[in-house]
Amino acid sequence: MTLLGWICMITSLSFVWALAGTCYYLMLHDPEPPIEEVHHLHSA
Amino acid sequence: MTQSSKGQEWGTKLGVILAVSGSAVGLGNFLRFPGQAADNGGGAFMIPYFCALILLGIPIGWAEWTMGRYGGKKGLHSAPAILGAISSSRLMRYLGVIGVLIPLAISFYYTYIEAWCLSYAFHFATGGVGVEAGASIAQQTAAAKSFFTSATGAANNGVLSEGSIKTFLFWLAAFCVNIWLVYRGISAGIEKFCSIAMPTMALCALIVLIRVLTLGTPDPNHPDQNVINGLGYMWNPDWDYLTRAKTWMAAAGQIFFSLSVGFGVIINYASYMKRKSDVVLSGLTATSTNELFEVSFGGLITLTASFVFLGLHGTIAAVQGGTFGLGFTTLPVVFAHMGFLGTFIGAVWFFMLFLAAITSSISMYQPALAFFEEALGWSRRRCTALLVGICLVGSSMVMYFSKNAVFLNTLDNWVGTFLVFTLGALQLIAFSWFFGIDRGWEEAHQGARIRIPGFYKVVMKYVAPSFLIAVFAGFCWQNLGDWVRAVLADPVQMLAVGLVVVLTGLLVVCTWAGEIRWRELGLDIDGKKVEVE
Repeated sequence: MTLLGWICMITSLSFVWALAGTCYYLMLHDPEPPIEEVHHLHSA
Repeated sequence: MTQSSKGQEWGTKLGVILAVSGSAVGLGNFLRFPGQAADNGGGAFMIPYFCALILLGIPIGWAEWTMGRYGGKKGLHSAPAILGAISSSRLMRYLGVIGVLIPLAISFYYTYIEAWCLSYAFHFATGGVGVEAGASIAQQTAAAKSFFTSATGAANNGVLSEGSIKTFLFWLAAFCVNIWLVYRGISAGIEKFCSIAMPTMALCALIVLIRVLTLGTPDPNHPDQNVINGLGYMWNPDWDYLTRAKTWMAAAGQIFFSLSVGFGVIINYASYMKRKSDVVLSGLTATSTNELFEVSFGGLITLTASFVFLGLHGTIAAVQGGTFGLGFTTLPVVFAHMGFLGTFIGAVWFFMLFLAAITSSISMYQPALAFFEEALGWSRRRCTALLVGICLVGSSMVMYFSKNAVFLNTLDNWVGTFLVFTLGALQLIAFSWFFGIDRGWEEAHQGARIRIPGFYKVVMKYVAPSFLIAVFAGFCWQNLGDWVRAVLADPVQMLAVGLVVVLTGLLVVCTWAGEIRWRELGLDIDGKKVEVE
């Protein structure tokens, strides 16, 4: 494996892990929206 | 047990994200992605890949999530109804039929492939697939091919009469589980299952990854066949590939198919979200989960393991064998070389593929079920019976015409590729041009915790549709002529296309019936009423 191969692999893995980590952090630290009545076909 | 679609809604934010991610993570993440990357410049492929993710995958995903939630607010859950309301166009409503047709037709063969994974997992768990550890690689490959041919009925048409009854039973089991989960409903069935299946899938992938990365140099006679060189085969960049249009098209195609955008699934799933749910963050999180599986597991496991045991030439041949060749012929040979742990790792691997497939296949049945309920106004039980009837016809044809998987490949070409591109472009145009990018932007940000960067307005209105249309045109230029000639020359292919045409006709009639019903119910199917928040 060449140096550039290592760079490509580590950069790609870091990008996807950082993206997923940030998204899950934000999502899990955000309160759930309240349960609500939604308008549905069968109730129409 | 849920008996009707009344009041269906995702239970939690995580639930919908895992369900959408489960829909996206499939065999392509583990088997197609590494082949595409290795074939198109290795590490260099990641540049067009991430460009396509940012300029195509993420914005189309946001558009689909936003349109889905918008439709759900109006009590609409199917692609025809939602696209009609978004675009205020009757034509778009009927074109939206493609959003039901795609997942339904793909389910005909996808559940069959799912049955192969289940069959392989079962055989590995009970002793293997007949690949002897001490045999030569040529003999092992022949044994693996023979098992695959027998399991899939690839030698002759008529899988049920060719001794492949076991595979049929695995299909029946997989199909029943799928229908049961979908029948149970969004929260009690799909969400609950994906909440268990996704972490289990990650755990299985991690077990296999750890085993592969600790293989070292298993054969002292071939010191070059080691893990580091295996990773190098996948990741060493060849920058020349960046100047080739084929590389960019391959990257766009991989992102497009991997994220399940343009499948008619996200728009349906998002319609069950709460009114104030964050579609921007949810869409991005689901996308990032798919990328995590694809790059981390798909990018590190498959070709590395193949290289360590089969060497450079064996791995190149494996990549050329395509997704099925790599997954069902090469990997059993690789597992046979792993010693006593091989059958265990094989069972874990194929069970993981089965989970990846089933979380995808349930997402294919749900849009059709929602559409039948919505358009026909029948009970969930009756609509499930209709869905089962249609799927039995479609899947039986896929299984009967099993020789060389011609029927399956024809459906995959016309529905799983051609129509997916078409729907992706239609959805983006409906969102950015018919609904309007400013209105869509405002709709997307309702309840959003993060803001979409401003440049995405230009991306969603101009760049992504142009990119998509260019890739689609290039794709048609390369393939369409050959596909049409092949269909005209082969009765089996003609039958597959005929099935799609008949199914389209049925769905159009249902949409027509639905249109009348929706108007009688006073639903805003033309998108004329302004939502008051």
